[in-house]
Amino acid sequence: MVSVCGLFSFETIAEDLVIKIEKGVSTALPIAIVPFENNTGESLIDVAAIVRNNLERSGLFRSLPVYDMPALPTALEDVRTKNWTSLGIENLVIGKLEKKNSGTVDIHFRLIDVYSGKQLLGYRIPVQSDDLRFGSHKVSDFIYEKLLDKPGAYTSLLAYITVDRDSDTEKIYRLQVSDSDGHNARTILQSTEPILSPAWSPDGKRLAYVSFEGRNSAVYLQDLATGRRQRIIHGKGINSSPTFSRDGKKLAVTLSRDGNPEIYLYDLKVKSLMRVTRHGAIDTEPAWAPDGRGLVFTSDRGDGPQIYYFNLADNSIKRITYNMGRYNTRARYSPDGRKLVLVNGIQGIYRIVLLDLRTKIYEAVTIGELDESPSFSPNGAMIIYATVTEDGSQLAAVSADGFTKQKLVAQRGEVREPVWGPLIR
Amino acid sequence: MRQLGRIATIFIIFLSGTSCGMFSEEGSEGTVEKSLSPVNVSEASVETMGLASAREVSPEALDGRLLDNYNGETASLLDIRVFQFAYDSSEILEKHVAAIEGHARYLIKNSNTRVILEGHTDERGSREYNLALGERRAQSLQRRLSLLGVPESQMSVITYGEERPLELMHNEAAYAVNRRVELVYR
Repeated sequence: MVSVCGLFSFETIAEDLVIKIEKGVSTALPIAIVPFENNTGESLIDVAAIVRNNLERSGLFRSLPVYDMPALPTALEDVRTKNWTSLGIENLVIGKLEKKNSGTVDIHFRLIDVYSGKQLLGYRIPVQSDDLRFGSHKVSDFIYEKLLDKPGAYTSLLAYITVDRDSDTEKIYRLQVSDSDGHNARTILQSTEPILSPAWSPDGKRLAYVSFEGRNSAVYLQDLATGRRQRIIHGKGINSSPTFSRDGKKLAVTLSRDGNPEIYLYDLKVKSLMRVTRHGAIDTEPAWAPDGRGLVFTSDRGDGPQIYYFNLADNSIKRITYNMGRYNTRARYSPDGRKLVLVNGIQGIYRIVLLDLRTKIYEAVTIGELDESPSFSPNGAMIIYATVTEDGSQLAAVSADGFTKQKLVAQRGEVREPVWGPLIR
Repeated sequence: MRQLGRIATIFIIFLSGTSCGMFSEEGSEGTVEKSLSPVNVSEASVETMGLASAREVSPEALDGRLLDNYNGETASLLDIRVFQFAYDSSEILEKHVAAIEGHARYLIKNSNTRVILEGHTDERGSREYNLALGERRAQSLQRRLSLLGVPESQMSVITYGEERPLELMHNEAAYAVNRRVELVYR
């Protein structure tokens, strides 16, 4: 019989992803993030370096390398603006780490506009000393939002599946959650049977996913804080592809209990199922429109698998992908609802495509051959996806304009099905 | 059981309403307030979630057991338990018909024997769509066995989609091997 072993820690197992930026843009905003002064007397992680990497990764900032910095000020009175303006730097970040009481560190940082000579931001962020990474992401969010007037997504989290093939006898599947930069990876579920299709609840507190631990697919819901999980949907055939409605009250899922895969809505409170599609073809991969009025899904009812829209108000269905080849699957909306990101297959090449729903113009934003599982960052600025490289399946991210690409490479094993969690406010 | 998680509450305190100071361009002395001591002007509370615990599930592997009694069936036909499919297709290939008929005769004669039809796909495209394709392949074989007289009660279908490839390479030859239905006797 299937055994579910008790709670157990995996801190040594989860490995951070290493990020490699492949391509950048020249119009990026020049910024200098000076190493923070560490007054704690302890050896701590390099907060400024994390912030620098975060901002660079967006493709919207170009940060000055430390060795090119004319000075390393950590207090306002030490800043000589001319030093920086002569290097074309527009914004400067300085800061320090102070120890308040045991276990707590204060991150002090200031964002300075070197042309106007004004401080744009100044905050003290007290964090637990083992939570400095989160503090660094918070600093990054403040700077991103202040300079770009859009929310940063650095404090949001990623969920993804890893598969370890190290042992010959069996594979180990892990559901992991990491910081948005791939660091601080934590395993929240481990199984010898496949795990797939993780989905975030809108409040970021729960993950729905599919596990084969019961010898068939079943949909589970797991609370991140407590680790408590429950099997919520199981039955004959496929029980898969969960995605939360924006209000968090419903899950759209794919079930084949009536003979072939159809889309259903599962009410999490009432625990009832409502069938949405009715067709002999495959209907799967539902995703909610941000306005909550409809769903997109994949169906091969027409010309190969294509993306369709289901209108929840009048139950009408219309095809979305036309003249885009015979393989279009797994669509997800941009947070503003204006675009779909999906997998497009043409002549054996599978790439991530961005489709503008109004103009119907689409463009490939990736260059792999086996790219899949695209997911928008919650601020719409980045798209994360899985790509197959010589190292096996790995995660990659691309800025939503397609200009900046980066790979998040695991030390070992495969990484797949990334999903970006909501903004934590 | 160990609680790994924690709820970290992080207070962000606006440094000072007055510290957003100007400082002189060449400012050797500067006119900026030097103190970083906090003034509780506005206070934001940010909560990170504590990712408490991880769980392990270790189901037993379900191996296809050997058929000890072939009941007159040609052993070599019954040894064929993996059936390939063409790209994006769930049609039974002609080369597999003889073996499928052998399994059908065996199942009819041994009405206590049950078989699981496991559908699989190659790795290309999206995982959930492949899960559906794998089921369609397994159902296709199930329909064929059913037409040959095997009662539905002896068969069950499961799909793994692209999750359990036999070949790990990313090429046509591997994809062809991985697009399959496996018969698992139990």
